[in-house]
Amino acid sequence: MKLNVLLIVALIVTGGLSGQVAAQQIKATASIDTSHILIGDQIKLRLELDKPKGIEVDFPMVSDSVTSKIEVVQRGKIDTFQLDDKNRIKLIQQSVITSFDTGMYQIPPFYFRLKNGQLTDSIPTQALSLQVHGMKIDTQKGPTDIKVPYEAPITLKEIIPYILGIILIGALIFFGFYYFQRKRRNEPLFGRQEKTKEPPHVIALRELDRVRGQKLWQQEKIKQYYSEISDILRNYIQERFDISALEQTSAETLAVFKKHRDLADEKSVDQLQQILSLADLVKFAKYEPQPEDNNMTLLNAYFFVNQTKKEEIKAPEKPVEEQEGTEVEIK
Amino acid sequence: MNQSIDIRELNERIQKESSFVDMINMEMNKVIVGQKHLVESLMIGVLSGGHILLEGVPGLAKTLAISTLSNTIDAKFARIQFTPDLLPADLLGTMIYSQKKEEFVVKKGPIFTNFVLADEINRAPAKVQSALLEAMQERQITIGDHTFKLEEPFLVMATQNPIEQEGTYPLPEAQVDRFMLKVVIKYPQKEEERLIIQQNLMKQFPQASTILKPADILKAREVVKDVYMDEKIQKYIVDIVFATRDPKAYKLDKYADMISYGGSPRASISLAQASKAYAFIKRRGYVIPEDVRAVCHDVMRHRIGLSYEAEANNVTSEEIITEILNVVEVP
Repeated sequence: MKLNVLLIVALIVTGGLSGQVAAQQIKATASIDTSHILIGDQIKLRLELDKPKGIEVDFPMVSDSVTSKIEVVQRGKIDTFQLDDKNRIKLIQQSVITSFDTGMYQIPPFYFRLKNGQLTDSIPTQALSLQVHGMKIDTQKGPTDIKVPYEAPITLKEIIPYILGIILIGALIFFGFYYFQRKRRNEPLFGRQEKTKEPPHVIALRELDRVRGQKLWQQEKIKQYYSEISDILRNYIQERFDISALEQTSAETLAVFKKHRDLADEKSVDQLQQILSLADLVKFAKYEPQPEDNNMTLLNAYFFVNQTKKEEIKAPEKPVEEQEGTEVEIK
Repeated sequence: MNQSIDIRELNERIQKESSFVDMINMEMNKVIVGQKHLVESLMIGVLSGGHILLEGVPGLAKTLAISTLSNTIDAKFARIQFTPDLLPADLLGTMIYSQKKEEFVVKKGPIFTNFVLADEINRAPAKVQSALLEAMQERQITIGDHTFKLEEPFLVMATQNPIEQEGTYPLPEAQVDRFMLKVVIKYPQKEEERLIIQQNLMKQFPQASTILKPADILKAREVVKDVYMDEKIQKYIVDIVFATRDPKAYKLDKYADMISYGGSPRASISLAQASKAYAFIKRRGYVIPEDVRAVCHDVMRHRIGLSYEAEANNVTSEEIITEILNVVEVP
């Protein structure tokens, strides 16, 4: 019996000692950002627990208020950090507190509950004090107006419609200016102004002049001479009559003229036939014509172009009085 | 007007040597009603040493045309009906044992002739087609240890039926390329058909007279080779063939995906040879673009590979060739 009593006492003593040892290894702290705040200011309340791994400790419950004068605005989650000593961890909970009454307040200690088997213990933090200051009132100055609300900073979303509006107005002004400029210059609104196309006969006659100036047949370049003359005429026919003479044989081109007699008079067609036939003989059969044939071919080419050319009829100018909307300078 | 000596001499020679062309045409026209294009193509083949692939429905005087041509030239003619069970030996010949001589002797096949009509060539298997096409190319045949040169002029006219394609062996592209011309025969005109009926009802079958010897054809071939082809015409031929290979370069973008392969260099050679023969038939000593255009369809139609897209759009090689001729610039 005596032995049993001694055993129970020993167990209680050793159990109590081990709880104390564990409590000594656990460090609980509470802190606030500042101990002096203006009424309504919000500060952070930080609860920290430094403990070995494997020991279960319950965080104190932070309710809606810390004391009757200090309110909890926001309760944070408990974050866990691994310390350098891998056997220890740190738990931190941050809450936001405020007070709407001036005065000096005491924040009581927070108790962390330690569970060690069947035994429980609690580890307190230190108590904190918080001084809440009120606004200084200048009694000499008398009553003042209510301050207008602070203006919130302008966001991009708010200014985008204005930017777009400015761009649109700018674009409208630009296009208006562009339109009037184009209209004033008598140019099309879109695209480049088409260059005034030279009439086919002008090109053909100029090219024939060039061939005449080169004096090709006089330099024994007879094949080149006839090739160029026939090419000039075929190009002219293509542009003037819309006959694809460049992709047709001489016979095919002549057949078109003979079929559509309204395109050219008989004499012109005969001359064309003479030119093309002779040119074909020179080009494909090594034919060597006489010098008078060479001259005649060029003359016939000139004749054909002049006989078949389509002159542009210039519109007669309107009398000044009939012109509307034009400014007339009166001297 | 003076003509360079070479061409003048050549023209005179051709005028003299080509006189038989009109006579052959006359004789053939006595027997064959219509089919002028077929007769002309046969002449091109005979004069340029090129073989002809004929496509047309039965009963269009294909056999009659070639047998009449052989009659006018006093040449040997053989018609071989190609069937699925035909063997190369049936065509070329084989070695048989002669009991009299007590040795193997060569039994020559029907190909040992001047003009061969290979009727319905696509009904025989590839090995027989191959044997014929090899003989066409090499112009010689080897049976056992003996090699025999084929008698000149040697012309093969093979026929294909465009309908009834079941159970046929279409000629591979590489072998089709060996035919210089592919001629498509159409039905005769109404009046021509009436004449055919009349001749048959009255049992009047005129016979063509012999007007030439095979040696004359060989002589004419030499003259055809001398027909002058200018560099400009050669460039024109090259342009046409290149347009089948690279349509985009000739502004024929719409056919770029429709042509799977274009004409081979053999196409260019054939086009040049056929143009020369055509110029000869027209009794000219030089080639003009009209000659090239006249033979272009026959030379090119079997040398353009059409893609699936072309077949889906019902685009034919005929259409492509016509478009190429309309686009390529004539010299």
